[in-house]
Order: sequence, then C-alpha cells, then structure tokens
Amino acid sequence: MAKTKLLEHVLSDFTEEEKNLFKQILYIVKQSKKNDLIMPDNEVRKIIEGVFK
Amino acid sequence: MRFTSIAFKNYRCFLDGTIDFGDRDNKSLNLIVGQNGAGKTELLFAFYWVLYGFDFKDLLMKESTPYALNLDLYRELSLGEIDKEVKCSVTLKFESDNKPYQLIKTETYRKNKTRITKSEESELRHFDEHGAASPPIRDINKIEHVLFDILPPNVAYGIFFDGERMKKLSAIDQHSRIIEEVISEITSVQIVEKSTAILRNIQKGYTPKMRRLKQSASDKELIDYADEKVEVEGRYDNNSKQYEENKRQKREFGQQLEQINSLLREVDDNKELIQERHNYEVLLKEERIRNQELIENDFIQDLKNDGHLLLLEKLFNDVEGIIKEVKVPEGLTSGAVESILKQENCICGKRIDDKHRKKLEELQRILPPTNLNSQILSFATILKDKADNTKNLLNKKYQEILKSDKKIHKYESIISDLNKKIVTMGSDSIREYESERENAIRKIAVLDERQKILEIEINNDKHKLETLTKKLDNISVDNTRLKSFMDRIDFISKSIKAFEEIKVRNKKNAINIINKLLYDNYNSISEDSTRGLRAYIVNLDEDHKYSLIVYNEETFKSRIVKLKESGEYAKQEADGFSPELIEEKVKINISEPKSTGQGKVLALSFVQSILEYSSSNKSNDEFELIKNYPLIIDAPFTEIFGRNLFNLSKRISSFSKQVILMLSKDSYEQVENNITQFIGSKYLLKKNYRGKSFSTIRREF
Repeated sequence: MAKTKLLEHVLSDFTEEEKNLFKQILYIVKQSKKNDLIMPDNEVRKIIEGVFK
Repeated sequence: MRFTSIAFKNYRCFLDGTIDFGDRDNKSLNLIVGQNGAGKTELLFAFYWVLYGFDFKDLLMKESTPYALNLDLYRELSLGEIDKEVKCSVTLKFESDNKPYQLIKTETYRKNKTRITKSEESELRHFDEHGAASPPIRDINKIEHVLFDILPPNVAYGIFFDGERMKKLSAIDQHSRIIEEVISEITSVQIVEKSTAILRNIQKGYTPKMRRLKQSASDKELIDYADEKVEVEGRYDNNSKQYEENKRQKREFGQQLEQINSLLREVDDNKELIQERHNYEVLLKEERIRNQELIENDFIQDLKNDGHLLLLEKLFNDVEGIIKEVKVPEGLTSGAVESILKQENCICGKRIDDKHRKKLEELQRILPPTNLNSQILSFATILKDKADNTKNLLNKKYQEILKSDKKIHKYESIISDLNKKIVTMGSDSIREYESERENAIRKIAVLDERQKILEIEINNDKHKLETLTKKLDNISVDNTRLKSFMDRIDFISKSIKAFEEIKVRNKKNAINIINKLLYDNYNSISEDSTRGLRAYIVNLDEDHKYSLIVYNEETFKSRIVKLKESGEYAKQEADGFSPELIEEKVKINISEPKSTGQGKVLALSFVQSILEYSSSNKSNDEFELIKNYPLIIDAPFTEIFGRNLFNLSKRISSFSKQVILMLSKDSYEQVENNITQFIGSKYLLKKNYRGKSFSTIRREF
C-alpha cells in the first residue's frame, strides 16, 4: 500500500476537520525533528495543544 | 548523515592524527588501508566509543587494553607521580541535514595514592551556515537525545561492521535481534512514536481538567452519558485488544496442535509397524525352533539311526561291482582266490594277466574266508533297498530344512525393513506429546469460548457507543465547554489508534519493500543466485521472525505446486493461514546452510537493502523521513572469492553516499581495480614503535 494511501486508509473514519488536525500534528512533530538540535517533547506538546484551541 | 573527520589524541593505538573523510568529486569511498594490527578495527570501535560509549572490557578476549587511554601512557601513569593526569580524546565531525556538528569525547586518567581513577566528559556543538558555533551541550542525556535521533544506536549496530557482527547478522537458526532492531529503526517510526507519546501525555493531562469541568457542568444527564461513554470505550478497546490476542494465541495453539498431531500420527503409524514387526518376530522364532527340530530331531536322528546303511551300501556296492565284474562264481572264498593266484591259469582256463591278477588280489581282500559271498550278495540287495529308502527320507527332510532356512531369511529381511521404517520414540516422549496435545485442545476450547464472549461484548459495546454518541449529540448542551472538551478527548483517542495502526502497517510495508530490495541486491552480488538461490527476511513466522535466509527458487515453486495439488495449501488457508505465511513457511523449510563467505554476501546484501530503503525518496509521505546513513565496514572481502568478490567490490561504493572501507594491504590489492574510481580519500595506517607502540595515520590522497 502506498504511504499516502496508507494515511488515507487509517484516517478513513475521521471527519475532514479531524484529518486536517491529525496532519497538523504530524507536520509539527516532523518539523520538530528536523529542527536544530531537536525540539524537546514538552515544547512540541505545547504547540500541539495550541492547535487544539 | 555523513562523517567529515575523526581526530585522535592518546586514544588506544592512535597517539594523534586525523582522518579527513573528504568528499572529493562526490566519490563515496573513504578508504583506510593497513596491515593486521595497524588499527583498522580500533578505528571502527572509535566511532562507537565517541558516539555511544564503549566498554573496552568487552574486548578482553581479543584486546589487551581494557580502557580508551593508550596502553603505554597508562603504564607510564601508573608508575609515575601521584596526582599526575593524562587525557585521551576523540573528536568526531559530521553533517546531518547539511548542518555541521562536532562531538568531542574526553577521558581523564588521574593517578592517586592507590589506583588510577577515570572521569569522562562529552561536548556537542553544531554550526550555522556562517560557521558560527552553538553553545556546547555537555549534559550527556541531551547529547544522547540529539545523537540517538541523528544516528540511533540500533541503526549504527546494523551499519558499522566487523567480521563478527556480519556473522551474527546472517545467523539463520535464531531470531535475529540485530535485524529486528535495525528494521525497527530504519522503518522510521520515530515520528509516529513521538506523536503517540505526546498525545498520550496530553490525554493524561486532560483527566483532572475534565473532572473539574464535570463538577461545574449543569447537565447531569450529559455527565452520566459521558462517563458511561468513557467507560464503554475503555472496555471496547480492551476487549478488541484481547480479541486480537486471543486470535493470535488460538493460531499459535492450532499450529502447536498440528505439529503434535503430525508427530503422534507418526507414532500411530509406528504402532502398526511395531505390531507387524512383532508378528514377524513371533513367526521367526517359531520357524527357528522348527528349523532346529528338523535338523536335530528329524534329520540328525534319522542319520544316526540309518546313516550306517549308506556307508554299508557304499561298501556292498563296491563288493558287488567287483564280484560281477570278475564274474566270481558263487561259493568262492578268499582262500580259493589265493590258490587261483598261485596258478598261471584261471579256473575258467584263461591265462591270468596283470589286470586279472590285480582284480583277483582285490577280491581276495574283500571276500570272506569261508563260503559266504552268495549270502553277502543277497544281503547287499536288501541293504540297498533300505539305503534307498533312507536316502529318500533324508533328502526329503533336507529339503524341508532348506525351506525353513528360506523362511527364516525372509522373516529376518522383513523385520530389518520394518526396523528401518520405525522411528524410535520413547514411551515417555509419547506421553509428553499426548499431554501437550490435550493441553492445546483444552486451551483452544477455552480461547474459543472466550472469543465468543468477547465477540458478544464487543458488538454490544459498539452498539452502546453508537447509542451514547447519538444521545450525547442530541442533548441540548448547556455546558459547551465540556462538550468541546469531550470532542477533543475523542479525537486524541482516535488519533492514538490511528498512529498505532500506521506504525504496524508501515513496518509491514517496509519489510516487504526491504525484501524486494534484498531479492534484487542478492541476485546482483551473489554467485549463488545463478543456481537459483534467493535471499529473504522472515517476517511472519513467529519462530523464525527476522532471520535472514537463502532458499532455492525452483525448489520453492515445485513445493508450492505440490502443496496445491495435494490440497494441503487449501487446507492451511481454511485453517486461517495467509498465503504469505504458507509460502514463507515453505521458504524456511527449504532454506539452505551458508558458509562464512556466503553469510557475508547475504549480510552485505541486507545492509545494502536497508541503506537503500532508508535513503529512498519519501517526499510524498507524511510520516517518514529520508535518512542517508554512512556505512563503516572492516574487512568485508575476507573469505569472499571469485564472482562474489568481483561483484561485491564493484558495487560496495554504491551502498551509501559514504562508505568508510577498511582493508588490509592484500585485500586492497585484490580489489584495487574495481574500487579505484570511487575512492574519495585514502589513508594508510601503520604500526610503529618509538618508546611506545602506536599507529600512524598518513593520507595518501
């Protein structure tokens, strides 16, 4: 299964809004790992919690 | 990721020196050449030491120095003044995502009154695009956090190689932890794992907040439904997990039962064979007794009773023959023959010639002294009849003995054949298997029962959840904050589940991709691929999971055809085994043993595959990163010959964007023509002695 299809498959019972939120979390975590010297987990958590509000 | 340089100070055999892994014309090979003992393996261990720490005591079997400081400096220190100290260090420079990093690890050895103490420190910096250094990180946990992210130790153990590690990697008969760990890391689940961990933390933090919100909520019904929903959801998740686990256990016990049944079927077949053997043993015993009786009681007894007749018959035959030949008149005695011999002519008037004389002399010897020859002749006739009877009788009995001998031989041969077919299995083992079978049947029954209950509970809870969600949606919510909070909790639960599913599916996909790469890479490198051998990573069969095996493709295809023809394939499918698992089991059953050289070729094909997978383009993907890892490999070509050596040396530079290759001088000369065009830098290591034994590092180009 292609990776993008895999994501679609796993998120099949998510609403569009939920899908976007999920992809945002994934993007934040991915960016945090690319960042200089890696962002600590609690910083990433704060950013994600911000997305929820 | 790419190593840019490694520098030493008083470290092991390197008193000083730097190896610069220059990127000349984008050539991937960094070559290190040195004779045995010049420090190639020490260089490999230096990477482990500076990145992850390394206890040299683990090398005691091979190396004499159990610490990082140069041996002679350590000895000087131990004999020197108190409070004196010596430092050793390794500085490693590398790039990750085009950002330069510098890691320095230093150990300080200090002589005190009774012993030498050791302290260690590490320092990590990174540099911006203008070359400005970041403040150093000295906290070892923070350093590890960064390093483990850039190059996880489990990956390093799969791509930093010496011969021993390569052997372990290709070990077939055991679940390979190295392969499992490398695959786990290389399949890039870090992002998924990190996301799951963060969401779980958020979920945990929400519990007290939710309690507070509930207390202040005005709608009692909403709270009750919400509470019930949380409870049902928890049970539903738990039961679903248990249901899957139940299924797995049932499958496992089913397999175990099948194995035991097959063993016991053999034992049952044995039972029939053993009974058959027993029957023949009885027949053999009876026949031997009969044979003995025929010989001793019948034949020998008859021979004892009437055997003299045969001798007498022989004697009288001779007498009769002579009497008839000489035409001896009746009543002739030996005395009469004696008197005839004294004369010149016989009583018939003929002259006695030498021939006659000889016969008469013989006749004289056998004839009775008195006139008995007519009685002898009549007695001989009677005796002959009796002797004939005896001969017939003995002959008949002899034939019976021969028949009996044949039967004995036949029974012995049947028993010998049966012995070959009967598999020896002690009664204790049979009892053990029977008890295991009963146990498996009992457990399957229990699991069946449990599964039915779980199915009912899961369905009920699913229905309840749907109802509760509808009820919650329908309630006019006074407390909108609680409602929105509940939605958020729902979303987090769903997301955690989704991440877990991604992790499982992604890993499965990744192993399939790595297996395809391995199939191609092994075909390109291994000489054995020309005789149909293929490489494969076991990933479904629990007992052999993550073993690296080779099997013959033709044998595999013919086994599958046979399984399909015999209906066994369909039977296994009906028992719940997937075609992939059925086929994988065949590959395991026909997997072939490997020599050290073949094992190395297989291990290197695997390394090439994981490096290709990790660096493959994942730009469209939303949860995997592209990772370029360097390959560091010590003496890859030893014990590899012929076509394998040619193929491998031609291709090794393409395994990664950076391949740090350590070779002995002989090995280098063997492959020089195949690798020269890919070499970016070449260093020579040489063993020296100037008061201290050490190795020098010299750049050739």
